[in-house]
Amino acid sequence: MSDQKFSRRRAIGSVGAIVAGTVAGSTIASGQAPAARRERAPWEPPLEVRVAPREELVNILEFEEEAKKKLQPATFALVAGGDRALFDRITLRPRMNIPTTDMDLTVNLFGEDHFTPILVAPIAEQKRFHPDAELATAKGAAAGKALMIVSSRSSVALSDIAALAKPSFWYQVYASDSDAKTQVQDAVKAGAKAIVITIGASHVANGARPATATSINWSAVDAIRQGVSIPVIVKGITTPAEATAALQHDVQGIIASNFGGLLADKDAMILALPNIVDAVGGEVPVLVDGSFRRGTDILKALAFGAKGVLLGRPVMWGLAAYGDAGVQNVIEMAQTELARYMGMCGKPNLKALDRTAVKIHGPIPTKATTNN
Amino acid sequence: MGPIERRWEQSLTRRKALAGMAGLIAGSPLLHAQLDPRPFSEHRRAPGLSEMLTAFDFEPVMFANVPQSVYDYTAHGDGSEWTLRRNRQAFDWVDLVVGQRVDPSAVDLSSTLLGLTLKYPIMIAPTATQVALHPDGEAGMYRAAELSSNTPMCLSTNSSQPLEQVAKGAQGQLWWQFYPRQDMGGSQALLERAQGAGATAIVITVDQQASYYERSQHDRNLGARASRRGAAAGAARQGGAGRPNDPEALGTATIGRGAAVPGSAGAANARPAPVRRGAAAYRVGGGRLWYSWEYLDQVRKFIKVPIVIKGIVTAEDARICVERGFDGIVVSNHGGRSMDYGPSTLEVLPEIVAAVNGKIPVMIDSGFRRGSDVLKALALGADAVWLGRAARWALGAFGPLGVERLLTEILFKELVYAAAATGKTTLASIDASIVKQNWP
Repeated sequence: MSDQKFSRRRAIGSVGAIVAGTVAGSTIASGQAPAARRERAPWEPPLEVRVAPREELVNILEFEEEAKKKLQPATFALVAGGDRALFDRITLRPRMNIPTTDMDLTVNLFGEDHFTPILVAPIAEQKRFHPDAELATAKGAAAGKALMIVSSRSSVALSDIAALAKPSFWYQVYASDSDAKTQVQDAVKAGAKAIVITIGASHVANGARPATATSINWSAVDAIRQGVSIPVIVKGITTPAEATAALQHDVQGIIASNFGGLLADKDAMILALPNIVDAVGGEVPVLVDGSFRRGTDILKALAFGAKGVLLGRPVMWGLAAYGDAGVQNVIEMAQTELARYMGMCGKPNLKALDRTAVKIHGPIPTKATTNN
Repeated sequence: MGPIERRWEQSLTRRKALAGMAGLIAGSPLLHAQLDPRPFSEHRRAPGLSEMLTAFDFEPVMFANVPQSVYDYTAHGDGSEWTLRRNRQAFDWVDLVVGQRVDPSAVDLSSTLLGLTLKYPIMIAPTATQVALHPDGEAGMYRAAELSSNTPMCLSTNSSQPLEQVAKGAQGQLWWQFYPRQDMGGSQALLERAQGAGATAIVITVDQQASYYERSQHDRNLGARASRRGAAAGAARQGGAGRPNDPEALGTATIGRGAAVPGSAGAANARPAPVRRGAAAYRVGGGRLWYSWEYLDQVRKFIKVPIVIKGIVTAEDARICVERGFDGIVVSNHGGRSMDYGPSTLEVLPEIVAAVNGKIPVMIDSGFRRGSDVLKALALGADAVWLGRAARWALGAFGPLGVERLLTEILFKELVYAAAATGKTTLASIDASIVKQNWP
């Protein structure tokens, strides 16, 4: 028999090669216990474990999926989600034929002009989300031209953050922290332009969510802000009554917030915002946070009278997935979307924006958005 | 048999090994991959024209006929497409009230509208590039609609066929749609040419100032990523496809020149950023942000025929159109493609009809698929309904014959039966008493 012809030896050899390929894909044959992620056979497409190219994300919500790929499940759970259901109760009322080419979204807060009303919310221990932690957030926020509110529970020294958080930053403390007064003094020395006192919740160490306080400790707020010459803002106001109380304690600003609903499945603040703004009556600026994900969400808050909107979790998604470039990208996306919808509503600046630009459908929910 | 012979008999031979391999392969998934999991008899077939029973039925056929990018262009809306969905949802908030039934043959919904003679209060909305749907393009759409189905058409400024070609045989029933252009000379030339070719009304679209088809861009990026992965892994990334944040690369994802550049190249972009003013500072193109009522006053000097303003969704803007002497309004959110989180057109129709108070005709589009949808709009005060996607699906599915079937066999009949069921035989008699409104 000639070598060229089929032989049993060659047949087994080639078949063996095929089977070896198949068997390599089988964990059972290889003797391993079936793993959570099995070996993929050559013809199966690769799992999407790498983050998508950042430039290809089309909105802020897509950053959440990318962050999930980078974070341990327990860590991701701390910044996952958001409840935009109440935003779906509000339609915009676009006005046509009003030129908005000369758009100007500048807002003046406590004597300082800000590029847009979009700020970075204070979030503790950002090293959980990215090794560069608050330094990356500060860098990205500065590049995106958004003010960063630095958490008193940052994983990096304030002086290092302050060096990057240009042109200015605010500093956040917890009313319930015994160290708060010292922290405030250090922050003022480090150049903070305003102090944010979180009320109605206290920080819980080691990555857990904030714990609810049963009521607002106004005497603690008063004690902390004694002798502080820079503006003091309270964060965590959820009702008109709390807003009125805040005014009675002479605060210079209010952040309407239920901490992104993290405390206990609360609704987003957006529909509670108009009544809070009305209670404040223009005395001090009212900012707001909680589940803002799209430019239309931000526009609605501004139309209700908020002077600024804080982004929390989305900034952490950008940080986790892409570091400082991700932080910048999330901020810029929010700014661009806001500008698009301002343009389509016929509002060239924030002065032109009022409640005629929005319509609320259905009743304002009386179910608690409150922290208390 | 000795021990040596027994050993030879029991041990593996090449013959036995081959037989074993054959068995293993027959059971392996690799082999089954080659078998058709569904027998040929179970394969779907393409439905025929006569099986089109609703406007919705045309969409999957059109989807199969056209490239993904053409389908995407028609399908998507601005932003998260919330308004796109709300347009359809709105019809669930208005119920028809069955009345004293009449014979459908007694129903006559004819009317006149700004010089048009309408057998039914339905028109074809201006949509772009119809030759991508079917080789007959706008001319085919026009023949099927106006000539075969008594349905006037408004031709888009972005028509794939010149107006003169479509207008051949117009017999006085053709409107033309115009987007404001900053160049007044160019505006004048286009408007005079359209009227010279026989347009009997000019429709000026004033919405979509900064729209962005986010979902289309998302699909395009996924496609580009898949092709890159499919191409050799080591191939140099040219950075052409899938770079939506590069203004020069923006194609049909965004409206107007360089509109809507969300996000940025971030820290990776080494070029010093140019100083930008106004909307450009927020990375939004100003291609359509300059629109103004003053511009319309200037450009109307070139228009001798009725002027209809398309894209109005507030009572305030409707009132301005009346005060400024325009001849008609189209309540429209551009099929959900203008502004996300804007209202559905049906829900703002009552406030606009009230503001206009009968002074000029009010037309409406965005989301109309059924004869009952049309009847609801008529009940709330609309004078006519325009069809965008429904007509595109029909043209893309079966060409002009599809459009004819959509109109004459489906929509007109649905509308007549619905009107008959509510006891109304004429357009003038249709009013809000035939509907129950349950707005959210």
